[in-house]
Amino acid sequence: MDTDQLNAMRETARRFARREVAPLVGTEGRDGDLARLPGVLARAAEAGLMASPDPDAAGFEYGVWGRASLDEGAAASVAVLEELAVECAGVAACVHFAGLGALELAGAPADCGSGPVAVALLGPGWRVSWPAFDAPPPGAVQLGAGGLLGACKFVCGAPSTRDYVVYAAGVHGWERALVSAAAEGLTAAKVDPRTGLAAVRVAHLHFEAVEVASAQRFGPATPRAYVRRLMLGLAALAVGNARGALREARRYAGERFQGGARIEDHAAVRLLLGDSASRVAAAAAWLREAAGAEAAQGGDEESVALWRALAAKLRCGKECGQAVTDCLQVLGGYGYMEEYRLEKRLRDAMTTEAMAVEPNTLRLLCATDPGGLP
Amino acid sequence: MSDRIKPKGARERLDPLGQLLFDTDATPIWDHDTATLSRPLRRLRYRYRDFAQKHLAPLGLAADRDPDFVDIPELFMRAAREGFGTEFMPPPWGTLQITAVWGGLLLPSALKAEEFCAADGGLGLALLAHELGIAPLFIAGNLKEHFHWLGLIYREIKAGEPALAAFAITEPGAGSDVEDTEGARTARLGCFYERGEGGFRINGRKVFITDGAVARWVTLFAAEKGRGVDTWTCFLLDKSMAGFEGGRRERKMGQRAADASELILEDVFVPDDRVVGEVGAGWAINRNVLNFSRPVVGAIALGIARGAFEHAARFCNETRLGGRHLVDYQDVQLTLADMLMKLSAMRATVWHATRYRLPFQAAGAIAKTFCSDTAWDVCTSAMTLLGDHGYVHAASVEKAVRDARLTQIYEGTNQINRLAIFEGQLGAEFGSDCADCAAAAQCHAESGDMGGPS
Repeated sequence: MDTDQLNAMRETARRFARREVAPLVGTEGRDGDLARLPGVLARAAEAGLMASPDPDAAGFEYGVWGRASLDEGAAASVAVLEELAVECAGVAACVHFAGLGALELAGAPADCGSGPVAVALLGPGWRVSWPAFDAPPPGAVQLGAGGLLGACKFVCGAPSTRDYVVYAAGVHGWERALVSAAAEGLTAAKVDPRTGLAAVRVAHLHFEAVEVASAQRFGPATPRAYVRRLMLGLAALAVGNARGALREARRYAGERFQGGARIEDHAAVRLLLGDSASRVAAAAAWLREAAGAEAAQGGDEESVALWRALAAKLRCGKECGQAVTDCLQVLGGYGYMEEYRLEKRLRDAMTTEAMAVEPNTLRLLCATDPGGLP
Repeated sequence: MSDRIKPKGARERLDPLGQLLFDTDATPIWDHDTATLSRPLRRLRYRYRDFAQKHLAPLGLAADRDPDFVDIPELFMRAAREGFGTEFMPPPWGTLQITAVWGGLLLPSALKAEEFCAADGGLGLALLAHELGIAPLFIAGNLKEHFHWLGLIYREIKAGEPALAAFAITEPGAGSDVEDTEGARTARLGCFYERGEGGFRINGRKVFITDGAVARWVTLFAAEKGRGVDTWTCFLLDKSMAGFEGGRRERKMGQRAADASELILEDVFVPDDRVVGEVGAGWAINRNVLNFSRPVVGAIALGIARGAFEHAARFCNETRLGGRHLVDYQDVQLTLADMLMKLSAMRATVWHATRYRLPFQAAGAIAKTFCSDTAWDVCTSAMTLLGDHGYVHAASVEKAVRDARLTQIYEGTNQINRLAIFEGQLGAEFGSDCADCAAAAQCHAESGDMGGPS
């Protein structure tokens, strides 16, 4: 995808976010009018912004994590997610997780699933590490003759998730299995209430001898590519959310007065805005570089691309989290009130940073040089 | 071999006197710190903790989800029955222990704030705001008023009436302005009084008033009609006054159990004897109330951070990952150690600030700003330690993060407090005229020059 196409995609997402997502957030309710979420997601799918396993769907190829991302890279999906998150990180997260699920089915047999899918990888008993990308660690869900056995924690998806792609330890290493949310032996406990990203459905899954037909098993496949996209998408959420916070803080600072002058004229406020703006700019640049990294499957380049994605999630989460809290500070007491939506942005930022792989683990992962880093 | 290398094992190789000098007991920091206090303060600290853990901690999460879940006046009376609502006067009027304030006027309040907020930041604030509400009666320095009005409020409380008090300075167009010298000069005020027969007529609105919805008494600041804060006067209002009503209750990010409400005044008649201090002395009273309250806000931040730390430490001790407990991972140990180090520094700052003979501007602002910024760091570290569990409400830590964030805003944003540190200490030492500083800063800002060192 060339720069013009990428910009066009970004512009389409921006217009959609302003027209459809911003009204959902509004000023009422802690996280907006989430009853409107299914409609917004359906229109995102119609607009081709959201991928689906259905080959006839508008976003099948070029939606977020559509099939085109296998050949053309992550840049387009990351750009769309960033623009959606400018208005609402929660909605962007739904699009992200649904897209990740859809793409997992790219290697599946033809009769596997058609729709909304969530990916289950992380478990309660193991910590993400470089060796775990190549071989399932003790504690991963087991896939054997007796079906799926074990548990996955914090599985994220769109509210209407119907199926799960489960990364499990098979005979030859990591394998994937497609499981219906209604499968016998599968229990899903919703994780609520949570800090932010309220639009996303988060659940703990417990597998008790869940049968998996051979047609629904596919792999072997390491979770490297999935984790890379997962990290890039969360980093995009962080950047978009912080851009939105900066926009709101600037608007407020230009309208309100303190000490007889607009608050944007006070050094105390300008320092906050300057810090925030430079943090967001740095994070955005880093994200775009990480999203543009080539990821040829299996080679050193894949490891470098994964490292960049992990580092992007770590650094974008940190820098953008600080930017959002500084933007909230610009609004003073109003920033702490729900109706100004800065506090929602901060809650979303906190959740994005903690989600999937938390910062300490990311730091440990980034300590390893995968080879080929400048 | 390894036991003899660890401090406890190594200690046994010393002579008895050497062993006495080598403290290897795994005593919690809380007990170490408590041991440094005078006996009355030690007793108070234990009592505050016991009350908070028994009455506040079990209600915190539910009160955060639904602020109406807890009956704040009823909870206040539970605290009052322990003597925790009448601590600004000694017996027979109140429950102040003279020996407890000997080492510092504010130290008991700081101890209480830490313990209450370690149990729950929102409920802690709801109870502590009462002291802020009655502080002007004490700080105005008029003993007759002090004994009359504070005595009356305390008699009500002792009679079983939940006579909570609230402190009302913030206005819709004047938040930071009423907490800062430069802002005050040009503040756009919206709450005014006019003199009348036998008293004053007050009109206007106040916003973000903690306990505004549940307080019976309100110390409220208003300016003479059409004039600025130099005419600010403090009035003692009660909710039974005609024209005095509560407005909307704000929906906040955290500390949700404590309401932040609007107060609406429509031609409220306030008799002459309800003026606190002198007419026109309101600004002075307000400034000194902030000097007294800011160290306590530092203690609130400290308490919230300690609560987050305790939840996180417990989680790491109980949770297994990759075949061992989280607490056995070195990176987790480093993070916990960082958090404990910061808590110790916060406590040292608060206790130091409260041990001055009298609170003063820089000391209060330093304690408030340092502790609230550091509490944010500690709470976000706690969230990090919990990983995905960190954003789950039931784990309590995300609530602490939300609660902590407010301490960087109220009692003056931390930016305003930094200016207060300069004004109160450095500006005074350097003989700097803050009006000139502000004008210069504005000029620099307009020209794009941020006024860095030249």
